[in-house]
Amino acid sequence: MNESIGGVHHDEILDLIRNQVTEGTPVWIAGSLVEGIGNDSSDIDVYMVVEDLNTIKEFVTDGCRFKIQIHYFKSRRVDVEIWSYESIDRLASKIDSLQVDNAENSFLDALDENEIDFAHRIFNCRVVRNTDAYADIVDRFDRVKINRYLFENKRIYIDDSFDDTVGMLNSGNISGAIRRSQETLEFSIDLLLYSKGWTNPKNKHRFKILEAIYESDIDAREVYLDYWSFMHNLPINKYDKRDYVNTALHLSEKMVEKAYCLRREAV
Amino acid sequence: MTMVALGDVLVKHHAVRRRVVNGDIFLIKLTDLCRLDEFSNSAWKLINGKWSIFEIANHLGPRFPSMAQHEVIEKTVLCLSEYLNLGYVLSPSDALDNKSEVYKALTVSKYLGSVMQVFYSQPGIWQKSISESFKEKLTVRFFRILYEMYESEISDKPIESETEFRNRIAGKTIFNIDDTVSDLKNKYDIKGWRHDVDTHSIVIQYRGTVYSGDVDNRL
Repeated sequence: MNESIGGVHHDEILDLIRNQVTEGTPVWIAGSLVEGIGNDSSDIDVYMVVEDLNTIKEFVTDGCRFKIQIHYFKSRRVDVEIWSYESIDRLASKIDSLQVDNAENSFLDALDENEIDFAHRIFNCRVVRNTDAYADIVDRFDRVKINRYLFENKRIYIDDSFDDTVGMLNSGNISGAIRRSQETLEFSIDLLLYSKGWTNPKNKHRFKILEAIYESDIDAREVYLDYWSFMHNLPINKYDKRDYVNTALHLSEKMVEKAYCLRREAV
Repeated sequence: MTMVALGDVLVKHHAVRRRVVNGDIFLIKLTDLCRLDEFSNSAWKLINGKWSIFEIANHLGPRFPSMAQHEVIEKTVLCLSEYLNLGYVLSPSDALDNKSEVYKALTVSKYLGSVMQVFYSQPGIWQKSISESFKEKLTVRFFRILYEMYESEISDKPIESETEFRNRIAGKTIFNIDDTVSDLKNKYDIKGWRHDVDTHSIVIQYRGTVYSGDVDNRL
């Protein structure tokens, strides 16, 4: 059966890259549509692996370890990200070497956006060509470690924005403190999602994920209502605004505590 | 060193966060670090702006059964005095308010009201002509009837409290009012409702029956 994603059949996606793939080329489709959190504007993300990246002559982005082609088909953008086996190996080794149990500040953003996307999506995709080669690639990656990295990295983000918020509040920069406190809260929601095993790194999907699990996950439900109750009640008075920032910090700490509890239980 | 009294109530300072790093527990206030032992960590977790030092000590007692009660009290006082001197805690009057429950109550009320608006027999009137306090009473009455139906019918999972029930509906309304309304309509067969300011009453039509009563009834 020829499955489809976002109104485009898998065969049609393969047709877009037909002249670049051989029988042995692994190809998988990933992104928000595959994960059930996309929309009409979401693009389709296709990944393929080649022996030699230099054989790919047409591309819009050369990320050194990968190249990206952009296609438009049936009003849908299709991004094709092409990696070499060598660059995937290097990424897997890089993740293996991360010291997630001793995450100091030098650990911050050790993986870039494309690397995190690749690592997340390889576990959240539909394989459309050469399942065996795909399975060999997946075996190189440790999903639990990727999740731990995301958790520890976000914890550093929270601590940074928490301290920024306090500094701004103490110095009277109340507008800055409000904005940074909202970020602190948003990062704390991410931490909670990571503690539950999620690995989607995109901020833009944070609330869609919470909404998707709203009925089944009581923690997600509580966090969702806490966050929007906070956002809906921005006060006018400057003294009330100080309480508003304090409330964000309090909620953030509540979420962080919960996240650590869940992670301990998981371990 | 300033000592706390047993009747004192303390709140956590807004700048302090608790973190676990490589198995060690710290309180962090900007660049100040304070490493906690098991007792001081447990004491920190119990500071909630409501319990007195004595109540905190009473909760700590069972967690440290090898210590005599007077030792627990003494250690609690010393620990919280230290927190006070380090500026990790302060008295409620000196602290900024935590408004999370206030914000939540306002938001829940607003979104439950928006659901009720959809079911109102004469669209538009409810938002314009009712005082906030009467509107709140109508909301409580309306959702209590729904909760009573939910409570009598649920059998396969842990039952939610009335607050959890209301919060769940309000939260879902934030991102999908259409589904929320349709779900309530299907589950409870609500046909409509109206109110009467003069008689202080609410009339709800559901499941082939009509409920009519004073809004203060069973509040």
